[in-house]
Amino acid sequence: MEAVQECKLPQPLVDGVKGAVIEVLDSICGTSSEHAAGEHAELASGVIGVISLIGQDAWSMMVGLPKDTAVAFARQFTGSEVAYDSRDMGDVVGELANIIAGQAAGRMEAAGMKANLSLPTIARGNGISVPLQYELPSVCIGFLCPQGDLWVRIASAKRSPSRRFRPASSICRS
Amino acid sequence: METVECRNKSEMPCALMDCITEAVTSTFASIYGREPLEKDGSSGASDGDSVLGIISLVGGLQCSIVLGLPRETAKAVTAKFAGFEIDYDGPDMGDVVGELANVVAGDAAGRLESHGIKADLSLPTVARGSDVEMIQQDKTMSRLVHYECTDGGFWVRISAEARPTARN
Repeated sequence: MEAVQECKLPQPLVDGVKGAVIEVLDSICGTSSEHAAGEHAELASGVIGVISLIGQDAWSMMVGLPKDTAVAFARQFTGSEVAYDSRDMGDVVGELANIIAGQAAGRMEAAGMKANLSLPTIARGNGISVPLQYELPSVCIGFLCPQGDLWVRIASAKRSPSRRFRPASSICRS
Repeated sequence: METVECRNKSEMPCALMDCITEAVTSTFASIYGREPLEKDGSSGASDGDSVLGIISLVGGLQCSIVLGLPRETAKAVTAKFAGFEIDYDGPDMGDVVGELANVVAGDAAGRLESHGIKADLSLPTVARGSDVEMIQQDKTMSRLVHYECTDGGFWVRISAEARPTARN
């Protein structure tokens, strides 16, 4: 289960992402709110979109949509039916991640934290969970919109983090 | 043999592909003492449980690397990589697979830099799931490479947005 370590994340980052999610969902879905029940980065069945931002610090964002939310959101976003197991679903969730990250990056830049966005990576599956990474403080925030619930997980680290694990092989690069 | 899933195969930058596949081969060779074999594969879907290490390169190019390890491969590879047994369902799996993705991407970034392409690494993100399928986006080129190492199969998916631009 995802551990919440919000205190270790830069507050402008958390606030920026929260604000961006609400703004984006409001504009697409009409309304949205934080949803305490979605504070664990887990999906019984659904789609995840991962996007990273690299600047003075590095941070990443994962958007998780349960299957029913993904289908309803895609319908709202595109104005037509998008099959859950279609390639178009990847475009929808990728675009959602991209828009949220772009909005958040704008807010971060205003707070003096400029960053470049990566490509979004999209995956679909069952029983999805996100293991805690010790060196990456993270928080998962649940949201609710008329199309259903979803969550956004944020992780952040200083650039060039030290490694906790060293490769066992002596010839492996460090 | 590689499974090619590019919508615009001809635009997939060769230097990018070469650098990343060489990085994967080199990293696993350093763990196992022998190079993993590329093998036939048909899709981006993984039957059963698997863990994904997701990392991006941002700078002179935009690309992402996803390392997909089925449960048994993940347990074996991470044990060799870390030097001790790692519980598949435990939190250490996230750190080790994230670090493995970091090593592969770091190696690839070094190789790209020798081609005049400078790129920064993102944070690695790790996710576990079952029957996981990577979804290619419309505006990206993507390539899936399956490998077989001593302890089982795994795959690497490489996605890129545009040709890398060499820096003078």
